[in-house]
Amino acid sequence: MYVEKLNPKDYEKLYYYLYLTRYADELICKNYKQGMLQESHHSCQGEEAIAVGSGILLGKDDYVCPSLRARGYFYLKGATLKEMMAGMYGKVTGPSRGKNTSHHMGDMDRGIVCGSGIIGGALPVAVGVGLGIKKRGSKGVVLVSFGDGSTSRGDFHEAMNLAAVWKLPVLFVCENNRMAMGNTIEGEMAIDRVAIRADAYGMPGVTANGNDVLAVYEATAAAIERARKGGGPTLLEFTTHRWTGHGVKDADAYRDRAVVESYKQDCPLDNFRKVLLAKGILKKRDLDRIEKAAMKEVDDAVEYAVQSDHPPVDIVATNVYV
Amino acid sequence: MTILSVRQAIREAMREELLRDDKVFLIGESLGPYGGSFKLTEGLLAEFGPEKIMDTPLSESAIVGCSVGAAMMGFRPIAELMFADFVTIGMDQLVNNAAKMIYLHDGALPLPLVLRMPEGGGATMGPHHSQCVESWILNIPGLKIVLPSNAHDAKGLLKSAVRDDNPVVFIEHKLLYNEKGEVPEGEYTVPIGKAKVVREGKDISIISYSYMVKKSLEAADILAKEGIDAEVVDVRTLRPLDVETLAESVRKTEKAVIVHEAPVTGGAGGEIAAVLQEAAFDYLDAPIGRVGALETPVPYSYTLEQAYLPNTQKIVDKVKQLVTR
Repeated sequence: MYVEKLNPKDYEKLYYYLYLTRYADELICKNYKQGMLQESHHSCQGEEAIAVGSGILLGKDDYVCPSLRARGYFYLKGATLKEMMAGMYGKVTGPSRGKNTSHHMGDMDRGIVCGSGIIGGALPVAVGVGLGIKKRGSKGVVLVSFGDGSTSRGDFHEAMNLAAVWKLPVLFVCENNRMAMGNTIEGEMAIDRVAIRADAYGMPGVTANGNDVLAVYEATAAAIERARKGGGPTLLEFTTHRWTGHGVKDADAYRDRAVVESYKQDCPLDNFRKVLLAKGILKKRDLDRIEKAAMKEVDDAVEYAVQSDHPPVDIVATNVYV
Repeated sequence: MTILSVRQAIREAMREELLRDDKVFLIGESLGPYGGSFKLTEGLLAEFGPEKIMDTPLSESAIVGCSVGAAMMGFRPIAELMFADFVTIGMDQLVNNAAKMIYLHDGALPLPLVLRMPEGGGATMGPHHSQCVESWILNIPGLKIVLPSNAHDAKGLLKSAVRDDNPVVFIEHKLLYNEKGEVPEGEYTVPIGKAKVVREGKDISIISYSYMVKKSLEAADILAKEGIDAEVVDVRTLRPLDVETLAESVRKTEKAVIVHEAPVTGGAGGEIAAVLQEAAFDYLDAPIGRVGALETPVPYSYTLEQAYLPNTQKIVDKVKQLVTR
């Protein structure tokens, strides 16, 4: 069991980023509705444990290509709350001075692979990063995250197949929230679990509870160890639920409110709190302290974003080429 | 000087760049033991091994996307598509990842990748293996587009493309692969973004690229016998376009016809005509003419395909129409 090696500091870190992701998301949704943000936000509420529980395992030689609802990866890989928030506000202090959104930002120096607005479009790129890792002779891995909707795209097939054929150190992490925008999983695929698709490529497929941060950690740690040893890629499926509409503009009127509300009974933060308190790993006052610190980081970031300038117009046609 | 076919010239360019820079590698379908669909990579596997000559599954999207990722990691992939027509499958990776990656990093990340592909008709290969794709790709800032017309340029431009830190789409014409030409011995490059006057003349500028340069030169020979002195300009690079060299020629001849193998509508000729009238409007003595393929899919049968394609006679006819109006 990999989780057995976690120390109190690790638990604090997990809780810190879970809480920070949730709090930041709530604030983003609130401020967006007040017309303060430019970036079309896709809430990750209810899905935080996946990015946090797997992202915490990534080291400096590892890469991550986060998907829309995977904000935790950015924070854990060194993207600051300030730059991310400034990006949401469309400010010059955001990623690439306002040329890229925060949710697709990339910085190879920090191991963050630029995403794509085309669902599934980042998967072949992540395979190329995996090839680069292998060519360098590094022990690193690349984790690419995507939703269940992406698995219907041809890029999922091409990327999974090539990564398996070349035994590349790629972790395919599917956040299965059982929704592809307005389509339910029954309309997306005729199988019950995404992970069984791994069989078709000759790689392991693992399904775990995406609302249990320790289950995410455990499954990811095993896949990373396998990849670092040259065992090749793994498809990890983490089950979860989408609490909000697809994007912040989506009123989510097509879903049964009672069902959506019931998802909140399986909250990844509450689930983790219960474990921490029941096992005495952290006390209530520790949680309060962590939450306060996380809130401060987020609030400071919002202030920074609000105070930042808009990009100067004269940069618009710069750096199309190097 | 030595005489090489375009195929040999391209192979030599790849070989020399593989030897020069350890970051360079080849990726594509059946490049290794098979030697590439048009035998461009023949012999390279034996010399460089499978880590440098990488055979992929039939996965054009993965070929392009994987090349983008490897380039982001500091490698310099030369990717090959079996046929340019297959770029449709890799188009998302080309348009939404390769072309945008530098801008999305505000210039902080180079993206040195070359995407090679053979295009064009004349080989009775049917509608899915004969198309000219350059104008599909032309409307995408962030890419460079190179189309060599001869062995000298093919080698020199490809070496420049491999050393370029931007994504370069390198479009070859399959009918050029066996065309021989003089190539310098030893190291040289041809700069991307420079057109070339390949035949001087004073009566009209025939502006062309790729295989149609050969047809334009043939047309110029025929026209010369009829007293029309045509200048032929090889565009060589569609993006960035060397407007000044083209405009200078037109300012001299005061007439222009643009010749490419792709259908006329929406083809690169429209773009070239637009920039020429901006740069040389006061010099123009006739409307700018265009010669291209018919507005149909590329037909398979030889007689139909030949009727579809632009050719020497069609260029001659168009030039006469413009010169004698």
